[in-house]
Amino acid sequence: MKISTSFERGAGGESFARARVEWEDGGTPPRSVYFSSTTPFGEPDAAAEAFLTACFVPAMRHAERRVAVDGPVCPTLTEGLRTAAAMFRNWEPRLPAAPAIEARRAVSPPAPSGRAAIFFTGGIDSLYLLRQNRRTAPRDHPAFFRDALWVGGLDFSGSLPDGDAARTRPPFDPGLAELCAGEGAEPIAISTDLLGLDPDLAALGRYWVGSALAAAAHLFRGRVASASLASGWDLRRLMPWGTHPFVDRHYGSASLAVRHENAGVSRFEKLRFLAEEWPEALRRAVVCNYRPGGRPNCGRCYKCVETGTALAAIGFAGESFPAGTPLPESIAALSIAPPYVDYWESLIPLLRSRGLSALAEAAHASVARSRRNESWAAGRGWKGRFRRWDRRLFAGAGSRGYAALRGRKTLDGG
Amino acid sequence: MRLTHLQTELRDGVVRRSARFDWEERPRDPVTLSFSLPSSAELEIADDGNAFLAAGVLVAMHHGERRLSIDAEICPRLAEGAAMAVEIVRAWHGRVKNPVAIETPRGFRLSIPRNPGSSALLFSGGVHAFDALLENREFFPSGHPRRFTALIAVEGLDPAGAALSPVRLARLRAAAGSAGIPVATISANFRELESDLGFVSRQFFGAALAATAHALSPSFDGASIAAAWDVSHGVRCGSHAFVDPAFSSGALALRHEGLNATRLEKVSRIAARSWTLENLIVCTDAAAAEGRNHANCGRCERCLRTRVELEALGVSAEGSFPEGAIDAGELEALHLAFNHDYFWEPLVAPLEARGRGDLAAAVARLIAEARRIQAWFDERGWKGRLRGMDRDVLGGFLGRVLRRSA
Repeated sequence: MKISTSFERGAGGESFARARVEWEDGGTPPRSVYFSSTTPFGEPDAAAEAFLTACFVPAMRHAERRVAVDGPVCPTLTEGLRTAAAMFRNWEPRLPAAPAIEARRAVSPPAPSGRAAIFFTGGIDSLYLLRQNRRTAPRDHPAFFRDALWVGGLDFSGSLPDGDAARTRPPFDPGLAELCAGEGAEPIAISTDLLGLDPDLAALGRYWVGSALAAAAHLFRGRVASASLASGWDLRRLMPWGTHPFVDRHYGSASLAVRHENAGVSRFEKLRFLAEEWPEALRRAVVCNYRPGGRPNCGRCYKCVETGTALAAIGFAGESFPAGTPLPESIAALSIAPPYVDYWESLIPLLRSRGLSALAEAAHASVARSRRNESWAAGRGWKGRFRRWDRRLFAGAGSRGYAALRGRKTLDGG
Repeated sequence: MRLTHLQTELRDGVVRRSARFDWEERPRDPVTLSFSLPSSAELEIADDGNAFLAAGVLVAMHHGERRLSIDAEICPRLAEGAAMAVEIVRAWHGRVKNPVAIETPRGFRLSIPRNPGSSALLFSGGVHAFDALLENREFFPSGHPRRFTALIAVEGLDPAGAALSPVRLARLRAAAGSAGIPVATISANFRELESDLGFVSRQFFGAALAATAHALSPSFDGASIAAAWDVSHGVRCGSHAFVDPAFSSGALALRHEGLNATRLEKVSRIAARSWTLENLIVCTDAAAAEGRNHANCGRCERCLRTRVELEALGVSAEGSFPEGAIDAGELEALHLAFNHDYFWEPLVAPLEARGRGDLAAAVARLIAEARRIQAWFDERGWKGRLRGMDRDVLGGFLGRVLRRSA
């Protein structure tokens, strides 16, 4: 992959950083990608580091043998990208090898202004991080968030499955921008079409959302010295993901520290904290990207149902959810991922204590179903043990026979 | 666990920062942990509680303490990271231990780097530390904030908790002199705080190094710990890419470096320079080494492994070790620790290529033995499967009977 970068100032005062990306090994046609912002970017040289950070993981995914970029790159970043790539391969050995990085070596001195920035989405995690920062960092401290970076173009778009003509969120939700400004963090909206480089949304989430966000922060070299990502997975529920406490820091350079914060705090703790300490912000929280009728939060996706249920469990009357408290049917229909089963389980007594027994029963049904599946998959219980020993001793013949009798397919396609 | 009486004193040319550790859940005697630095060193000792928080939190977890209360201001970023470190170690080693609540009556204060753009390497003189130093000199030009400006040698963490021998000190100084940067020796009585060697090596080692770096945090804003395992084989051990950086504060970034190279690649880079090879300290048996008036005993697993690695690379071990060329018979009594076959496996082919079939066969035997035990443990092979079935179906009855009859 060859990356040629440029910086421009638009007629309306917008800053543009562009890159022409030429794939060398996959036969994909060249493509131009950009970042833009009405807030001026920093030094033009920073484009090389930004686009290297942005393109490195997609290049690796698509088995490019090298990434050559036309500007200077801090050795801290070069080393960090190699380490991040090695971590991905450790998680998924079938991933292609990391591409070699070809770039001029730069000495990037630390940013003189030393501002700290937060990647802000208005979700529970970034609201919590902003509030915690206000509690722990005095206004004159270098870690006090002075900038709130909103990156548009990396989120999901389109309609809800039921055909509701939903819109994705605007470039920076005005209410949330006001909230940031009120907290002393200057809202900075950034747009990008980076997804065009590797339009697989699932892959963005799984491999490179952290590096794509870090890339945007690199463009503000000279202004932003550290950029913090709010952790979406707490430590007890960690899984390999595109933004991760052990990986994100490797996307920094000597000029920019990239931090992944609050991985030690569960989502429920964050909600309870916000309900007590910052209820006005929690009422404006945006947890999903759909805006039915122009209002944030669809009220139907997993995140909305989960957040609505947790808010009901702590007795917080949210205003953000058009559908209000989730319906028991919505909860009962959820498919809960194994790391989150105990979290849902912890909500059940709280819902009961508030007299929300229908919600509690629905949550109980979902939890029980997920536990059964988990137990089977882990080879526990008599069915799970049977499956495990069938695989060990008979190479899964028993499962295949049973599936054939029932007219089903097994997970391995048998 | 309560940490009180934090104080700094200057006596007999040594600056000593100490804190008293009192246990709340176990009837253990209080311990005073101290960091001691010669006053002549051009480094400063921190006056906050961060070093003691880093030193205490995993030890508190290990001994079932429910909280760590420290009578000093601490950095909230470190407190969060320390809690994360506890969670990581608990996730790895089973949830038999409880989380530790971190409390301070003095409050949390986000610390600020006092000397920004300055990095140090925690330096043992071993293969990984030397390689981290070499790589740093090569990749980070002069003036870069990541280029090491000092080496820190830590006394008190080896199995005996002993001071560095004169021979080892001389090697460290010679290495620092060749690299053109100063080395400071800081002593800490970690082994009085924690005597369980297994816990120290598997869970606590990185935290102890991080604590030492925090004790010197006014002098740097970054400190690096050299990785023993490359990223493709991230064994869960006391110093780890996930754990060490968790001990960062607002003032000090902890880094775990050298993840992208295997041990043999590192030995190869070290072997290419005489000043690194001559000053290598790999030995884990400091007493035996001192008994031979050498920096390395030449006979412990680490020494034997390094000697075999040098042999595989066609480099003489003379100077680095009391003995020169290695004999296959020296490996006869050796048994590899869990996972260590990973270090030995890449040596077989180059040894054969160099005409050392005897040594290659000895190494292959060590690897095969280690893997046989591992397969049984992982319930592979017929013995392992039998063990698994016994546990699943009979609740381990058969195993208990066999052990009793043996």
